[in-house]
Amino acid sequence: MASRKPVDAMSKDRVHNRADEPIHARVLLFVGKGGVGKSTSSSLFALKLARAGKRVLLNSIDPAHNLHDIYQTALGPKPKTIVPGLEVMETNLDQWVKKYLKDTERNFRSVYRYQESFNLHRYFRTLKYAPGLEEYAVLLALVDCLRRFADRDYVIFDTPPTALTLKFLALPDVSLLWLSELSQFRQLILDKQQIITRIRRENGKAGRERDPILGKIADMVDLYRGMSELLKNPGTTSTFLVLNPDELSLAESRLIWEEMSNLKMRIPYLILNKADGDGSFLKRLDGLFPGVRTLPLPASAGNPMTGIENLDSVELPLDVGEI
Amino acid sequence: MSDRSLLQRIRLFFHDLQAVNRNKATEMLEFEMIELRNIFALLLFGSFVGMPAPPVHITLQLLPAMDDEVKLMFRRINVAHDALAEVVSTLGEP
Repeated sequence: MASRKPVDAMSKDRVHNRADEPIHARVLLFVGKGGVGKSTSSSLFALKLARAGKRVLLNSIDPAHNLHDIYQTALGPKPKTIVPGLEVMETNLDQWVKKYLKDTERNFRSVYRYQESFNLHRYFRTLKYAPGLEEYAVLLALVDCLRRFADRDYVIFDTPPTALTLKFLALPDVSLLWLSELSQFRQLILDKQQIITRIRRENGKAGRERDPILGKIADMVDLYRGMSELLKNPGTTSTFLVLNPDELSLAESRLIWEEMSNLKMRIPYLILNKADGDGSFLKRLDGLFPGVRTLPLPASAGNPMTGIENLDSVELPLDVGEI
Repeated sequence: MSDRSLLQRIRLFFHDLQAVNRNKATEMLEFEMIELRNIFALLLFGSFVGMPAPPVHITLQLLPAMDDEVKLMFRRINVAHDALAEVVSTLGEP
């Protein structure tokens, strides 16, 4: 089992899907509009993979957790073994935001000790509502989970509804854009500093490698590049887009498909949940999602689709060996 | 005063003279560098003055390493009302 490595937001730890910290696990993301059956589908796939002898971790990073209802057992941020080979957990995103802010505040206090009188803790209490922190918490939770369970065969994420999911999936690339600009700007400053130091013949801190800001930027670039590569690589990550046979769900799925295409993340599977009827809706999907394999999951297959027994009775629309 | 000491003093005089000239030669460059550092800080914390800023997690991660830049930024705010005097003082005497 991989040693536990808590994510310290300020640490130099990096996420790699290669080299020193290899992630063996195949990552499966279940995305889709709220209420279409992401949790149900991910629970079903996780159980089937475990039944096929794979070591699976299923993690809900949706703030509104459903896995405990589906598996009919109490769940929390610690993984719980449901059946042999299958561990399930529900991540508390609020805790991640709090932990991140606490780490940051501690770091601040050590540097800006002279500003104690500013009551930094008040500022940090407000900061948890800052735009962007929720998706960052999702990303931190995802990174931490991948590090801790890197040796599993499959790590499956039941994601939050569309808006938050798209934001956290875009976060590595958006961060890389900013960091690239900041890095270039910082290098310009350091170049000038080096020229001045050389002319003045000072033995100052002119070395680019000693600049702490550039060092932090480089660490962040490593982290986000690792995440971006991991999520975009079809060899390591597969996305399952879940939808229902209705217009709203279809419209939002198209949006997700387009946004993820823009992020260069391929969606190989489309799960049509509650795919009952004459199959006309299934035909409508032809051509709307090029290159995507549609997997119909009939509602009648296991009614209600909760509890291990019911889930076991459902037949998966593809062979688990193909995932 | 010994010859050796006199020679040392002369050497020191020319050394200091060189240093002064070097400083004068790099003053403008240094001014430019300080401005760049100020803009770098503004890029990161520009949301305070209505500029688009990077995601919060980037600024928070870099902030502890940026005490010099932050001090510089506040110093610039203090002299912002008198930019002309700042330029004149940088250009110095003819």
